[in-house]
Amino acid sequence: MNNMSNNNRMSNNMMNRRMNNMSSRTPEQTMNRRQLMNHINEVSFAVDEVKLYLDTHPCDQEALAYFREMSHKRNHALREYAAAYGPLTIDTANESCAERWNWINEPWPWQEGGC
Amino acid sequence: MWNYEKRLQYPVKITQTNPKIAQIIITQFGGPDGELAASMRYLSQRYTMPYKEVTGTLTDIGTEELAHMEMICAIVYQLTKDLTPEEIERSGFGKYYVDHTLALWPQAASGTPWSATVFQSKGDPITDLHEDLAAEQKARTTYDNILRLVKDPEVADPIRFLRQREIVHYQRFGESLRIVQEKLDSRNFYAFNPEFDK
Repeated sequence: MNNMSNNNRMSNNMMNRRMNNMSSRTPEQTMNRRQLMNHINEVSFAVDEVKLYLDTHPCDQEALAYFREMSHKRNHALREYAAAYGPLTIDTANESCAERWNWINEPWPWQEGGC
Repeated sequence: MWNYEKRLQYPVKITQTNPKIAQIIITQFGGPDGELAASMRYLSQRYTMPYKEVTGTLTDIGTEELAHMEMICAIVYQLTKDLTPEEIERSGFGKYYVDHTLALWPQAASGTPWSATVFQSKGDPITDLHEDLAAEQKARTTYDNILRLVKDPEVADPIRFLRQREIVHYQRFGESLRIVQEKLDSRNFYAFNPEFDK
């Protein structure tokens, strides 16, 4: 199977998943690929930033609540991305690697079309 | 233990190659104040750090520096992609090209190979945190110097992101130093070394 048909198959899976979930669409499910990637970058940056803050302020309740919210959004978006386009993390590889090892299929982040 | 995440911390999308500026920016890969040295510095210092807040800070900033090294490498890669022999000759990239073709190799802008001698892991928390604070400022100055030479907004944008992170890391290391000093004798911070004397 070449890259192109594999991408089409993954897109079809995504479409089916999204059609079946019409009644309970999350914000992530209305995003295109670029928008979902930008969303992952944004919530991941929020996690990176608050993580460093919490290292030196471990009892800050407001920061802890922010961490929980952003971490939840990040994990949800990473699962959505993996199911639709291929995994960005090994822990979400299950979502899209049923028939073949998709970890190596999508472009690497420094390449054209990468993240 | 580390897991790879298949994205950059901040996107790098450069459409115009520029081997001249690539030879400048590569210094933040393998130069004295670069991201590789930053990561190795913090990830080496953390093992003997006795205070959990500071061990966490060294681990998490050391990990983020690996992601910054990847961004710098992505910038250099995209600035030198598909160069022709004529472009290599014209831009002065030939001295790098002859040894590494278009591959990434950690060196300073001067061509000096990356070396662990650019950082310390001293085994004293006050000493190491002062080194870390200085390192973040030296990296910030390097990014300021790079930004004066970069004209392409596609290159300047991720460089500005990296510059900003140096300032945040400086803030976190400043808090780490305060936490360390709070645990020491305020009349003499140097009465003993908490990484050695028990």
